[in-house]
Amino acid sequence: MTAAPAARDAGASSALGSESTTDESALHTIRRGLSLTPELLRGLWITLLLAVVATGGKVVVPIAVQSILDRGIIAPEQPDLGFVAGAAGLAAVVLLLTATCNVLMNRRLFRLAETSLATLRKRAFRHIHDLSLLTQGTEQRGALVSRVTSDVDTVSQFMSFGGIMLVVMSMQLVLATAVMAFYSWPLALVVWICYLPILLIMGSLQKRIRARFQTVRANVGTMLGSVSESLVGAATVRAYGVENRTRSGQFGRVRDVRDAQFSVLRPQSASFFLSETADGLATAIVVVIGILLGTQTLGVNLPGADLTAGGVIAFVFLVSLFSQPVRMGIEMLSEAQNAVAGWRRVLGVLDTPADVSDPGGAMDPRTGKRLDPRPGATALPEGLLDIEIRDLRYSYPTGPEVLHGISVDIPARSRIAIVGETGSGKTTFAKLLTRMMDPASGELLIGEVPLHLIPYSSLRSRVIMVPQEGFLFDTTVAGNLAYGRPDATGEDMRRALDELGLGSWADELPAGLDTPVGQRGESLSAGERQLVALARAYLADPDVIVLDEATSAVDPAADVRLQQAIDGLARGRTTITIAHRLSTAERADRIMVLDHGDLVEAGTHAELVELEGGIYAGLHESWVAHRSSR
Amino acid sequence: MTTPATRAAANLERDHPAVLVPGLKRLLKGSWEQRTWFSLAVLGAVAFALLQIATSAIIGRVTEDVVVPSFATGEPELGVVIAGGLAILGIAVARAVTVMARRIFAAAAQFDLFRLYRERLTTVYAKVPLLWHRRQSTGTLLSSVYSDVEATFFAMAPFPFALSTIVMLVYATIVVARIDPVILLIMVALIVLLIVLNVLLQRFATPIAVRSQQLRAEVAEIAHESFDGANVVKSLGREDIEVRRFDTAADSLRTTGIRMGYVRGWFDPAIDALPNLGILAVAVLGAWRIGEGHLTTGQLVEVSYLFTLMSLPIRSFGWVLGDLSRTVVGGGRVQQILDVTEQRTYGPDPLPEGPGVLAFDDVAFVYRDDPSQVILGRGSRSEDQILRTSAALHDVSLHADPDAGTRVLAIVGATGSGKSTLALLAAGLIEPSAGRIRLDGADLHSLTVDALTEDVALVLQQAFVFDATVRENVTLGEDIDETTLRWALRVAQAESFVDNLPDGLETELGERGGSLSGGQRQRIALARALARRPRLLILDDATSACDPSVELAILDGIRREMTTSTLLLIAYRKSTISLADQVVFLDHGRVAAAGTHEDLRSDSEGYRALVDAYDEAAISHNLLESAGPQPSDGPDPSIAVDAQRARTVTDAVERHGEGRYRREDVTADSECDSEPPATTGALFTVDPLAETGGTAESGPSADDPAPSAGPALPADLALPAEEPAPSADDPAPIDEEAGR
Repeated sequence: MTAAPAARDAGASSALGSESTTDESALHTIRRGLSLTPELLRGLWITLLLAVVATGGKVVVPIAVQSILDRGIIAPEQPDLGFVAGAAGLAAVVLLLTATCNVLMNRRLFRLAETSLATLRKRAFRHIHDLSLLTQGTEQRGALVSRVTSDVDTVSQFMSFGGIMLVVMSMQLVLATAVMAFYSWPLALVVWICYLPILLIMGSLQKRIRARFQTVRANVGTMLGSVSESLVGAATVRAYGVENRTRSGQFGRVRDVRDAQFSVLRPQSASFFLSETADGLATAIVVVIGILLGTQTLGVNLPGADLTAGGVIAFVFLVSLFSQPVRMGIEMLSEAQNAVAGWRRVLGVLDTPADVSDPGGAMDPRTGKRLDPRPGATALPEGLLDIEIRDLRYSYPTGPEVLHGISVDIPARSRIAIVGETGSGKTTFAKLLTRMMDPASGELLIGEVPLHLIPYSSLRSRVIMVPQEGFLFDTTVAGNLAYGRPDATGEDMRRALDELGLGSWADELPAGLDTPVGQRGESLSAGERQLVALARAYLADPDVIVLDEATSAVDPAADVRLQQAIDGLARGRTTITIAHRLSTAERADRIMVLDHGDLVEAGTHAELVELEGGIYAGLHESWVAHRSSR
Repeated sequence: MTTPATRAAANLERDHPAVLVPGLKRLLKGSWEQRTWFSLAVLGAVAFALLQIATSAIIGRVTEDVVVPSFATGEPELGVVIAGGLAILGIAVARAVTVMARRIFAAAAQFDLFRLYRERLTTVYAKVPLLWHRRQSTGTLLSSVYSDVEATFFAMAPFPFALSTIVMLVYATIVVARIDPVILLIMVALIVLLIVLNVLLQRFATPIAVRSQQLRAEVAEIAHESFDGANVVKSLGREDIEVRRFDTAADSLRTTGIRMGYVRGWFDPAIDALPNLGILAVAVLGAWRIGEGHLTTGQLVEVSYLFTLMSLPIRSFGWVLGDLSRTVVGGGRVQQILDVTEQRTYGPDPLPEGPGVLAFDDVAFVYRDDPSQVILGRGSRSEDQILRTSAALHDVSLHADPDAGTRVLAIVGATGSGKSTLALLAAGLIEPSAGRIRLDGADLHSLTVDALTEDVALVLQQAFVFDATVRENVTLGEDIDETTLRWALRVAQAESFVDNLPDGLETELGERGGSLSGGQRQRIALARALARRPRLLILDDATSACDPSVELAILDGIRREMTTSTLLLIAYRKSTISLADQVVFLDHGRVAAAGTHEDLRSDSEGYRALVDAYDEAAISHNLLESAGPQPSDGPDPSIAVDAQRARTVTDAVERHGEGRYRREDVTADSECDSEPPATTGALFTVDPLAETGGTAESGPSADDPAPSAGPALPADLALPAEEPAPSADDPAPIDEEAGR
């Protein structure tokens, strides 16, 4: 709740593999970003063409006004109204044309930016689901959300406006330089010489701006993480009256964001100052040098330096034509740093390799396309699926080994109960079996196909894990059941519930299957959540079910329903149950007893009960004694 | 709570009235809230405007006094030329300073407004009653904190600049009015056009902005939920559904963004073109006026220059206007939350002295899930439209008076009987719809917040652990001394596993305590409650994820140590229930029976069926889960021994737990020996095994040092002959006799 945001951010970014890219140049980030969403550059030349014409609009009016003044008003005795109207009309037409081009360009830009960034957003979202940091909770949900929301928004805001502005401004710069050189190349040179050092300093300033924007983005993530925590923990916060403390923690994160934003202002304002001063400096030097050159006071007679008083004044206005895009460009450049920082965080997600990838063709976050299936990828065969496990080992990335070589055969349609104390490796075993993670070594074959070669499309429809805590989505009961089989009709769901003996339960719900379950399913009781989770798995119609039996107590009526539903679900399938009740184990065809990561006993209930000194035998004996005593 | 704001938002979408006035109002309000920064920024902007005008004057002066004479004579005076240059440079530096001031102060105002409104939002989130949160989606509330606040004050940055335009406009109007009334007409026309453009823009942009902010919230909502339910998504292989869900929202957001872009796409060039068209008009009309003799060429040049000068500020005005719809929409969404008047209310009274007498008098509670109370988006979903009211409790009266022998009161009931509602009521987290709840005679709602939160502690089944250290999770920042902290952890049976964590008390637990097991999380949450030594402690199935033996040890510890607390237990397990002095049996929100456990067991059929069924599950769970102390996840070793005494079934532990006992743990357990026999007796009555179960000696394999591969083992089972080496967490020597 009060952990230092800096420390947390370091952890978060390392989890997402963006740490290594902190030093990469903005250009590199942009290049990588663009390579991921090449559609952003689609038809770039059309956009640029439109931009060129649109930029032309900026010089039309000054030119028109000058020629109207010179040729329409000053030159003739009487103002030449015909000429003036003609010139102004022509200028207006050109202006409208360029404005139209501007409109078209803007539309293209918005379309391209929004489209390509939607793609980026979607890919990042998709990829996060492939990352274990999600399931292992190493990054705050709120911060993860920020990567597919605020960070992407930052990029799109810039892309639809600033990006092309930068291009337009550079073109205006070229145009202004050309016009200046046409008037007087030595003075044009002078202007460039005045601006050169500023452009050089700008490079390092922008780097600092970018680094600070990066802190802003990271702090926004942390802030959202902290707010999300207080929202999810609302009850606890209230029960302890620590609203104030929680709030002050959040205030701290909110202020971190503001302070980070403030810290961007310093280098930013330096760059504004420089660009504004450069304008004055260039103008002043143009006047001085212009006079000196024009009057040949310096004793040199450069070609292109035959200036008049009018020429010098005209040049002063040209300088402002030059300095305006520089000023705007610098502003856009500093906005660009914000976008780059956001972009980098999104790319950081995409750069993190998926931990357990789909052999049937993993989603490539860089292209959004499926990769080729892994060589040897084989869908599960039709029919019965036997499971063979040989010397299965697992250790957490930085931890000790937690499964020490499990070998077991699970014939199709058998009911297996896994028994063992907390921490014995039951859950790890179940996760390996459903390929929520990959083993350190050993073999795991389902239907004679190595697990890591079974495409998800095949695996996830035939081997399903029903977790203990039935997380439900904030929709209706039916909406949640549809997660089991998306094309299931209302009738299918009714039938499934009836077959599981849950028909009457569903009828009692306030709005039947259309009853909303609330956030995380919190409107239902824990037992009811599990019922929905079971029905959801039933609809998925898998061949193998890995079931984590609930530990929390449910009332007898619910328990009867639950057992009935589990039996219904298990019928005709292989079930591997992490048993928390001996009655479950007793009914199983075979029991596996895990102890500290070892399979220490395995066999039927009858065999294990006979096993002299066996863990299971001991447990069972006590249980029987307990029951008979009641 | 169909607030005016809710309706206003709905109307906004339908009728999208002009947003100019409300938008400017909102910005001005923000400006007032940041008046220091803001006025500095406006000063900077005005100074900039004036300096721009001055620049033109200086350039004019330099032209007249330096450039023209220099060329006329052909021999410039170096000093004068350089002075002219310096004048230009000087005013540029001054201008740069004003630009900087405007930018910095405007940005500071904007960022600090973000901060202010984010703080206000989080304050509301903290203040509103618990039930409000049940109605709102986390993702949406999160989106408001970021996106809506940002949208509201997006236009704040160019706002001072835009305001300074007024100064320029006034100046320009005066200059133009003095020069020629006809040209003044052009200016007026220009301003009218500006307003027309803006009205058009708002008409098109506002509905899009409304939709856009809704979609932003929706995208955040889906992402948040989807990441929350990642395990389900993965195990069912339903990434595709989630991707479709997210993609639909992201695509709608894209479409809306493009539509907004199309609207803004013509607005910006139009605003840019305005001053230029004005200049052309000035040129044509000016030429005519010159011909008529009403105007000089010099004046015409001056006016054209003024128009050029104004183009940038006018554009900045355009920026503000262009973002005004976002201001109104985002601001409306933020305001909707800030307008929430529901608040947890507290009274003025301290808790009177007393033993902790809890009394419910004819308490009723009705849940109302009114869809109109769901704010910000989502309202379009059909399932949100259902108004749900469900009565959770009727006429509940109960009494727990320690002095009268009821220090531990258990509430027992089937799912949906209203137990948890009762717990929330007793904790003062929700208010009864009818009836009174009193603690030591004081109505809970007359109590101050401090009295309520210091003397009443509630522990929920869904233990919430903060992303902080163990210590912070227990103290929650309060000044709780080390002894109390340790004591609380010990009573909660958390001390040993906490000590085994890498950094002990200072271990960071991760978001929602991700690194802990469910039972460990519950024990941390429990320690948090105990450390406060509340007068009333409410445990709502707060130990459900712990082994029954641990649960028993915890409750027994609480009974022994929390001698001044009244304990309200929502319980399932017979062993737990039997700790209670009195039991209230709830059925469908009513008190079906009350009395001692034994009374109820003999008198109430429903009660007997319920607790027996619970017990079946509990006992086998106990057998499976408490097969021995486990370094990081199991019950504390001390408890295992405690439990062994209480329940001889754990002899299984003794047979198979070799190498997992630490001698010091066993000896440390001696404190438990001081346990009053009466309590122990109570424990024993819970468990008939105490009388019948096999003792350590009678266990079939008491002398068997290691389990051997029995006949049941398949040939391919690699079974170690010996237990693996003790883990690093558990280095103590094997001594299976230690406990005997």
